Amino acid sequence: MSLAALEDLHADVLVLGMGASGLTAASALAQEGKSVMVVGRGMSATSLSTGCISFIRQAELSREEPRIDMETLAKSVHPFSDLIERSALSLEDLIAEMSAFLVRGLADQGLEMTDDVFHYHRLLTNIGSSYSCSIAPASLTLGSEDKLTRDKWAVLGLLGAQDLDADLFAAIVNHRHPRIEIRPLWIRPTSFGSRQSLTSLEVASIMSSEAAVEEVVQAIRGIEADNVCIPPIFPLAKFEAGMRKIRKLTGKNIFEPVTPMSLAGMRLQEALERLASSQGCQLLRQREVTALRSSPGRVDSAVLTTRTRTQNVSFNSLIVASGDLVAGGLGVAGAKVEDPLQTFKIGTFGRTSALAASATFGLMDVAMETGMLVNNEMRLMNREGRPFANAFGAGAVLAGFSYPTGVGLGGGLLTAWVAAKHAMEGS
Amino acid sequence: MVAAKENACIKCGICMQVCPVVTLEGVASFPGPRGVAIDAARFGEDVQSMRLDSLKCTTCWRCEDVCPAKISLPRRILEIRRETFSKATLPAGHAQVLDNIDRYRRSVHPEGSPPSMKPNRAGDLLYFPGCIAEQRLPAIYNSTLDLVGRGDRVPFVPESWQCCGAPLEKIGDEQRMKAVHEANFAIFDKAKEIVTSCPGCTTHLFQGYGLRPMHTIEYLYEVMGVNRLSFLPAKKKIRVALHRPCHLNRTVGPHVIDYALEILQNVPGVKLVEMADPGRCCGGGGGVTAGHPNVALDLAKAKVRSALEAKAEMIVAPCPFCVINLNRAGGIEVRDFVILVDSVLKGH
Repeated sequence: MSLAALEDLHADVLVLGMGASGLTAASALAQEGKSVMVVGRGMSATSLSTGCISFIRQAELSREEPRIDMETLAKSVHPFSDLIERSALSLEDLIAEMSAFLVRGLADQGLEMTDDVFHYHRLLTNIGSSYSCSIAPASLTLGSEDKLTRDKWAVLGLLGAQDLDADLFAAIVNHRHPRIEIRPLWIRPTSFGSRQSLTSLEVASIMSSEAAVEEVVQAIRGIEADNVCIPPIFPLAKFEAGMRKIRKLTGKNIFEPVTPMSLAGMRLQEALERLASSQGCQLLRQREVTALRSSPGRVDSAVLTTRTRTQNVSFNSLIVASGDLVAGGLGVAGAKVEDPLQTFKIGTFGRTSALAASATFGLMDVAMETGMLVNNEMRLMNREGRPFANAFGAGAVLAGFSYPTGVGLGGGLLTAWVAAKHAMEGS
Repeated sequence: MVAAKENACIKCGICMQVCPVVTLEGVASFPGPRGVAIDAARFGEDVQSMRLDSLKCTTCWRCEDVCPAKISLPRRILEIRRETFSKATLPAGHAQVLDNIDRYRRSVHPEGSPPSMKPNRAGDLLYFPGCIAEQRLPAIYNSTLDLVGRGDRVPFVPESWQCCGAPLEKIGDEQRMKAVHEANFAIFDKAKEIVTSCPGCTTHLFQGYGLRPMHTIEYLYEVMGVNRLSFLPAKKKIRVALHRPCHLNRTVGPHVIDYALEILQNVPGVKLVEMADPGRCCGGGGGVTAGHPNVALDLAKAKVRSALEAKAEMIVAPCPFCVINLNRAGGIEVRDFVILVDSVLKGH
């Protein structure tokens, strides 16, 4: 006994992966009039990120200059800067073009971003690492150095909300910025009831009531500081309006420090999904691609599964942006990283595979070095190492991208932007 | 022993964020998917100590759905129930289910009026109604036979069907579950096509029996053709919110929800409204209604609140279990999908 496959689908472009890279490529292609389907499952790494789109590597964080020049930026973007430049696309143009697209597109979906690509925004997280974000939602930035030194600061902790530990945050700021003093203050919102540890989604749900927000406003009014940091309490739909309201009612500058695994990343994810939908992309959620059919030089169609059923999708171009080992874009066979779709070449980027071959490294070390290989147009390779005419890779699934923590989403998005450009031609 | 899959946990905590029971009760009351399925084993806690916590899971499957590492947390929770199953520690509601199955071959006590439709006992489309549609909501049974009978297959209900065993899987009674499988295999043996009302049965026939059943909505959409259903003109307009039953949405597949929305859009007078987080569990599944009825009720109330906030006048739920549980909360009319669709068809 078997069930028939669901009705066949066709799209100009099929995108595997519904995180930042996949959605950005999809939106760009749809804006040019392509029919685009995006397939994805699970919580994306974007949702679990700080929600910032950064182009700067962690190593750059110790720099004193508040601005970064283009040459430094180009070198520090990610391992692909050379590759991209060899494809005759200017990195400078690409970043400016993509930034403009995202700033405009995300603002339309309710997420205001600054387009100050080269300005240094120093952001702090509740686990003590700092992020430099060149495209950052304005309300997420704590402020640049000069602003930090100016006024009195306080951080309001909500007892029970896990996203921002006011004591830890104050300790980090006081340590990093000895010229200012920031005081931690705690309140226990009555709206939390007797709850001891609330997730960010629960806090956001409670703060949908005006009375709950009013309590936070009252607490902020009583603080003797002009600048107050608060935990993330609003989802995307209420984010701008909510922050504006608190600023208005308290007359203070209100900031929301970036916290990983928080609402901030979910807001970016939601805004990117809405952007893709608004451009006409069809988002096929909770689905997985389990097989690809290819002919020499081309990938022709994909098999989707929806738990109990399968569905065939044919396409002119394919973009694989399904994330790294953890997110499911790559698989493990024994002690080797592999492509579960059995279609693309896996390897390490820009170095010999000595690490992959070494017995002293654990699987995770190998995995961090390993991914899908692409040429300078982000075309994926077949297992013999020849590029496909119509299949592209983007984001964390690419070799060279896994987990250089602190790089931010910018580099991954840039590969998606380049992949979309080339996919545009062939579809 | 921690299985390799549990070691794949990256501690992102997203399963805790989306768990409807954690959200409602807090981690002090329910340690959540990660707490039960991953952490306890990792920190060497005795599997017995996880039993009571494991019984609060509604098996809504949302944690598995969002898990970046694709860990099947609900399956591990069901394994814990199985490994720790003992009649001595059963909640009263679960003991009642076992007793009902032994006595009546149904998970519920037969009461009230049985379905008025007298089914064929042979045909070419096997209708597996499930215990709730037959014993608690016979209108689903009647409507389904009427609806699928309009197609070109002859629907029939085999006389000797038993509870599919899904409740036994949730309770952890593997022995009884195998016995009902054994008994049911005979009726499925010659069936070419199977249609079901309950997403729990659909999932269990698929996963537990290796069969390929269709939920009624799949059958309506794919076999009968949504365009061939002709509806009566609307008597009045009504604002309807579609609840996404977890086992339909997440274990049968999200395509069924797409079908349901498309069919509802075609029903004259129905104005679809969307409640916040429509995929959140109503609390009806996983044996929680029998084991922890207060948790099931609180989740149902939260669901009804969301529907009322969206200004819905009716919740439509394509699942008998969800209909029963949502009705416990009260405050809004709740109807099964099939009853609604059948009631507005021409020639009804």
